[in-house]
Amino acid sequence: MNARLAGALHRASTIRRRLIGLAVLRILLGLATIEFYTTSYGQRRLLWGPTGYLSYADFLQSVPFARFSLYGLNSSPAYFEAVFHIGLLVAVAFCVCGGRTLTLLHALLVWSLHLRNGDVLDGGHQLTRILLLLLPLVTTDAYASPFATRRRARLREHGGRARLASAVHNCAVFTLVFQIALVYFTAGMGKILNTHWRDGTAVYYVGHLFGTFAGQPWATIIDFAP
Amino acid sequence: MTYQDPATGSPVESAERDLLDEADPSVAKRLIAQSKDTHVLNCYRVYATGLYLAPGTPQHGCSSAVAAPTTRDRTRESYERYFSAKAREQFPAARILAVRTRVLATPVTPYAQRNSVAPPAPAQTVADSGWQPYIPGVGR
Repeated sequence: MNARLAGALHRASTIRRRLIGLAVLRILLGLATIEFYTTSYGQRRLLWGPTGYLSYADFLQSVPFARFSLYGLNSSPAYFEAVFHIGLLVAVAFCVCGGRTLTLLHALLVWSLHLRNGDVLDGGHQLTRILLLLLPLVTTDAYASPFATRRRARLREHGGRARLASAVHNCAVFTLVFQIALVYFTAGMGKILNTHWRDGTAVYYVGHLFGTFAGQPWATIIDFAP
Repeated sequence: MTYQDPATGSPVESAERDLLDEADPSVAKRLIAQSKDTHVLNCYRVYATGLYLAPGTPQHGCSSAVAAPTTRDRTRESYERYFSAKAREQFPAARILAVRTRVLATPVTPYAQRNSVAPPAPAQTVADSGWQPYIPGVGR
């Protein structure tokens, strides 16, 4: 038993797992953030700027930890434009290249933007922030990156030896997977335990309450359900 | 809706815009355009109905406030600033004096009556901000 446990711990601290999956996750998170920045590019001053609807003074007064956001350090419009555009460029670089430095920078800029205006966020953004806290601990640039070949060569150099960095990587990967699984588990359990979801009433109301779904063919089908 | 200019006392021309398409966009717009207005308008709906319909009750932020890293309880002024900017966006060439926001709700047909042929209930105004002075320069 002890030998099996020791073997498992040795494997967990020698070989970095899920490198391809982490590269895909990096690209997906990068693309989602680029979309977040670009789809509201024309409205950036209204939504996040110092003269926006949540003014700089109101932001500092009403949002706890506002000074932890890069957008809370200065009220100058030029500073806001600089931070916003750096955030966009870092998101592109993170998506294409990955790596710890870029991941840390990207996490800082995304947290800053999300802290500046929480109105425009949803559950997906919350998950993004949690994943970005863990991503600096893992290797995200071993695949689908200009530095991938070099990164994999370095990892091969350390092959077979137990390293703290590899153990941290694998623990963080486990936590990432656990976090994502937890989101879908709680969403599923919420529906299973709720009588309105079990008897179909919730689906009916969703089909009729929101313009997103109203008028769609499947909303009509629901109406004819027994 | 008519508005009287407080300076002259004379009625001023007013115009309306329905923001339903922005508050509740189609699937394609929701997925591709990722409009942030949808979220802000939803926050305003929660704020306005809580504020105007049930005075004295605790004011709520957005229903999905858990998604935000901080509180989403906004002040009335921040929403007045938002709708001033929206008014400017809708009427870029007009001289705007005041902005008024109304939230309308249509009661959904109850599940048990989903097959009835009765027409849907008419929309009701559930919140009305009244005329508020236009705030220039927001988001510029």
